[in-house]
Amino acid sequence: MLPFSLGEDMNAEERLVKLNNAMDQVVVKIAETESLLADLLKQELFIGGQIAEREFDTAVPDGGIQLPIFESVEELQGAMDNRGRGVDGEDEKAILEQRQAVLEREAQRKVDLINDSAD
Amino acid sequence: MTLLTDKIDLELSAPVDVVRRFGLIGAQLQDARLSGYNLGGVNFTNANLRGADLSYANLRGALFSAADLSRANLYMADCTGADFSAADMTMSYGKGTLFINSTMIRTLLRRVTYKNCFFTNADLEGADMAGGFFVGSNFDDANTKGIQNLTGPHRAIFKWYLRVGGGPPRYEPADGYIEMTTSATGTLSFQENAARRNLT
Repeated sequence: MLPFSLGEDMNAEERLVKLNNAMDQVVVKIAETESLLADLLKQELFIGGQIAEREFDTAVPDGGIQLPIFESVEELQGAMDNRGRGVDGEDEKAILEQRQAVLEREAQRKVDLINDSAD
Repeated sequence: MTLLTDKIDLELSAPVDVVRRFGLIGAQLQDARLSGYNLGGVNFTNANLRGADLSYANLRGALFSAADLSRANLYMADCTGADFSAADMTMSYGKGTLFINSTMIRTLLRRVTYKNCFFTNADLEGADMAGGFFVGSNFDDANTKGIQNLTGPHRAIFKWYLRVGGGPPRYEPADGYIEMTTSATGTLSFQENAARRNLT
């Protein structure tokens, strides 16, 4: 339903003028609505950014270091004996050897890359 | 979670120039077989190259500062303009190796064998040559200031004296011995002291 009459009671010339005026008003309204939409989108982005920032600020840090609690001297002694070992009790030396192998392979690959590129 | 292998691929996907300049700093290349490799200008600073085979390799302008090259094989390698400052080259081996214009400030050259090598115009300031064997090597225009163990009980050997009728060489002049300032076998490499081995 339009907010104004289309001028059925008028003659042809008057009606044409009125309709042209109505069309101008509609064009202005569309322009205003578009600018309002752009403002709203801008506000949405701004508020969204603030929410994300807030969540980041108030986030609970995960995985803090839990100090072990020992119930007895024997348990403490056992943990001391197991120092330098991994979670599954694997030897530190074995881990280092594994790491060494990875590092050597990586270095060899890089050297090969340079050598191949030089040809 | 980033897997280690992903990380390696990521590093290797960098331009070769970046890998050459930064990728091999402190690299683990112990006993690596790099014979004949083209590694000019590569940065091996602080790398572990113990016992690495670098024979015939092109190492022109490479950086070996503080690298560990002990027991490395540099036979016929081209190290022209390379930087070996503070590197450990203890017991390394080279014959016909080019160290022309190279920097070897405070390099450890203890008990090395570098016969018929070229240290021409190299900077050897403060290098330690204890027990080194440099027969036939060329030191023209080299900076030899402050080289350690040129004299004394662990002095480096630059000449040897062979008896005309044969026999083991001496390192001091003596009657009937002629001075050898070059290795008679040139750049050819043989197993040293093979006669001392039991052949059974």
